Amino acid sequence: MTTMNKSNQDTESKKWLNFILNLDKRIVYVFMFFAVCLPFFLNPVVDIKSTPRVQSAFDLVEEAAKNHKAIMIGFDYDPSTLAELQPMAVAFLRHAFSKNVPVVGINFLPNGTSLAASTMDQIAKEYGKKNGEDYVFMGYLPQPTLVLLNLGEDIRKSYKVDYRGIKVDDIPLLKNIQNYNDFHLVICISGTRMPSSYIVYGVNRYNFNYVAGVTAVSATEYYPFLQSGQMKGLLAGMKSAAEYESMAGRLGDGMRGMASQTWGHITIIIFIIIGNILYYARKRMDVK
Amino acid sequence: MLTTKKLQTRFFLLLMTLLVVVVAPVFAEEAQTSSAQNPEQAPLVTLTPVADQGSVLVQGMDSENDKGGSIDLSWEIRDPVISANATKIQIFRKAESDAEFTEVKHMDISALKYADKKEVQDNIKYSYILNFLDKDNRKVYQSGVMGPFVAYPQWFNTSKFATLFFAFITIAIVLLFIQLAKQGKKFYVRPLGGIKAIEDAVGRATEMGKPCVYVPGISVIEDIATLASISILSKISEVIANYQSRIVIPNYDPIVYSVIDEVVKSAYVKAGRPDAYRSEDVYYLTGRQFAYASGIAGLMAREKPAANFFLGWFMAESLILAEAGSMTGAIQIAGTDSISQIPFFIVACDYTLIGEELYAAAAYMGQDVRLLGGLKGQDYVKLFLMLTLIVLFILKLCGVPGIDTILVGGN
Amino acid sequence: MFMFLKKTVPFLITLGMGIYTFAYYFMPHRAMQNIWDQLSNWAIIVGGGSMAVGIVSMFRTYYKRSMNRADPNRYYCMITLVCMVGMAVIGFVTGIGDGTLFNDLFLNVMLPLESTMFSLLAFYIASAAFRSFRLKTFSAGLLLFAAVVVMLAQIPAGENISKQIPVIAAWINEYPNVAAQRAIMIGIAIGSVATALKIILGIDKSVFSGAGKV
Repeated sequence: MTTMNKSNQDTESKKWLNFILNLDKRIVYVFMFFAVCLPFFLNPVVDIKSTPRVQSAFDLVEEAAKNHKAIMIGFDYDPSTLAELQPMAVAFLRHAFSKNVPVVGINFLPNGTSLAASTMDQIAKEYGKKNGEDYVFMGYLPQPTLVLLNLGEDIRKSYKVDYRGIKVDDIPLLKNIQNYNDFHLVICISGTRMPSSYIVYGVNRYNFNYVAGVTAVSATEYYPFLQSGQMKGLLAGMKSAAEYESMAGRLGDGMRGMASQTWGHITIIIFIIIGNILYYARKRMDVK
Repeated sequence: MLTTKKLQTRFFLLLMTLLVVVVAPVFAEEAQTSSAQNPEQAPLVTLTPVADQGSVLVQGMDSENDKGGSIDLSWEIRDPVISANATKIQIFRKAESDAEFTEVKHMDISALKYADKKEVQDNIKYSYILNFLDKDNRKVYQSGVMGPFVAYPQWFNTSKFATLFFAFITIAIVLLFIQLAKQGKKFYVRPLGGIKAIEDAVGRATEMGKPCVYVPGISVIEDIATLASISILSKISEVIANYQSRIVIPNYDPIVYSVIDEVVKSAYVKAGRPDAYRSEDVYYLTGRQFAYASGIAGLMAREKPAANFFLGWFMAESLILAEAGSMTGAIQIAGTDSISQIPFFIVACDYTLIGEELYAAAAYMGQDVRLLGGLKGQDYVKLFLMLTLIVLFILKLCGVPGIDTILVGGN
Repeated sequence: MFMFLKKTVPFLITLGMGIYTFAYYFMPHRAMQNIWDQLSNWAIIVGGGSMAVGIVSMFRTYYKRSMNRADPNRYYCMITLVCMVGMAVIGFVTGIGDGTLFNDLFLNVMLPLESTMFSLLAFYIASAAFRSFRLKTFSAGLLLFAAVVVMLAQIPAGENISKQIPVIAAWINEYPNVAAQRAIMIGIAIGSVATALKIILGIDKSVFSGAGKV
């Protein structure tokens, strides 16, 4: 009788284990949903230590301010990666404008053009910066390869007018800007493979300070370039944006998103641990 | 009429011609640089101090390894007074035919160099004057008239010599093995699980009477991953046509779509079943990454395919596609050279072709010995590179100078 | 003659372009650059024209499916067609600048939809991690350890748990990751050269039109 009971118990536990191991994906999704959404109502994480690769990006903008040189930002992201990349773009713009560093914006993704223009205008407005004098957005151009090569020669070869349709020669900010040499730093913010194109067609040929801002999922691809010195800094995902905001001392979407990211990652880790415990429990049961 | 064989023979001739075209100018340039017979050009190539007045050293030369139209200027301030006060530099230029100097650049002094590309024409003599200014734009120092300098284009980028050398070695090894394979030499190639699975998956789909979904990635036609994917597709679609099964191919790029449409159609013709080809199964879906992912996820949910192939270049949509596909219970085979996406495919697909395995897949699937020869050649190139890297690494550890230049190459 | 046009001409063009592109990489001369610029302009024109081919293909496929009464999913195709034509018409009528209906639709429909699709990754990653990350072997254990450390390093809590977590994560990213990436990259580069060579030389002609030897 006892043996039969034990056997029943084992079958019951096995059933449960199998049920949890083959848990409907949607239940996992529900946990993830709450783990990401609920922390939005918590206070943002503001004390974030910086990593060297973000620190060097920050230092380059500081140097640009010291040397009175402009920086160029490639806003090569679209709505899909906006949540992760927009905080970086905003952090760079706020830092640059707060230090009176002129910013030239370019874009190779047609879906992100109006997004980039409105972001630049919005942040410039916060700091009272004038379009054409303190910043300029050149708008979208196809054939990034060709444009990146031309930017090494003369910006006027590719861009005849800016996003507003004003002639390049009539834009005061561009009066003394000809090619990469006139920028202290070139930044590419993108979830596509555009950051690599900047290296192949820009850095390798014209050798300038280059930093990329990429999605966390694609960041591993860029570490070899960071190690080789082709990239001077790398911002990977929202955490890097939060680090940058922390250094610049200005609360932004990066810091606001950190609580969600924290709980999201913890949830995944908990799921991995549960999955492994159950896997071993079933394995032991199978051996018995 | 030209046959392929004849054309290939001619290619070797072309390759040799190319070698002459590429390498000859290097020697020509070297001869030009070292020779004193051409007084017009000889001093222009070498770095010549032109305005050494003790306090500021200014140099100028034609920009190296470029297409022309560029002159490099650099300056070094030796006088501490000038160094302490000068913050900006004003560069004036005058062409031989101009009456007076005009300003070409007003910039921060910290750069220590400037490449003048502003409407510089080749083979025209240019002279320069540099004004060193303080922060209030007052003149601290003015250089004498420097030059003349002449810009001219180079035929060969000397900094890429190592790249050219390794490119020729790679091409030679691959061609050698293709030639050996053509002569009947048998080569062993390591079997890949994913390749066998592709054939099995098509058979399974036929047995189940369900379609296969083939996703060629989100890259353009010139991408090697896309070309490799099309190569694999050409083999798969032949099997599909023979088995009278069905394959649905949504496309991301319109040019890739046009090529794929033609390739699949040809496979049906080759199988002797042109009437079985369904044009509505090969179509352009969208050029937006996540719209494409959602379109395919919907397609898989509705069609419940027996096999999904994700072969080509992918980005963040890879996991969305693979997870949506796994929910339908289909056998999933992926292959990509997009390094960051390989882990996602490994986790969510049954088989994954990693990196170069994608390029090799078509060779495995066909009977063409030349492709297998090429594959073997690839392995030997890799072996050669590994040995080269080890040797260079050891030499570097021993302190031999110049290793970095060989490895890093140039612009 | 048909085979000449279908196989040999594309092969000759590919061969010519292949040789030119190879030479262009090593030859910076203006003459080479001018040809490159010209070819790039052609590429833009061909790309633009091909979009029309794509639209026709999509329209034809979805129209056929919409009209197929036996297909229970034909309403999805209808929605797609209506949206496609609707957006195009609105764009032509109102323009696409700031404040237009087209732009509003883009910002308020397209933008959240695309962000939503990208955010699905979080759910899929959680589910895939739960199903697949098993401590079965030593190497799987290493993978698991690396994944957990890198995930913890990507959140501020990581450094609160241990100061060493960001350091270990940085080491994983900068050394084992870079070493593996470089090895795969070298393999890919060699594979690319060999594949390109086979296509340029016409050894693999499957991309011209159909499989097999010619």
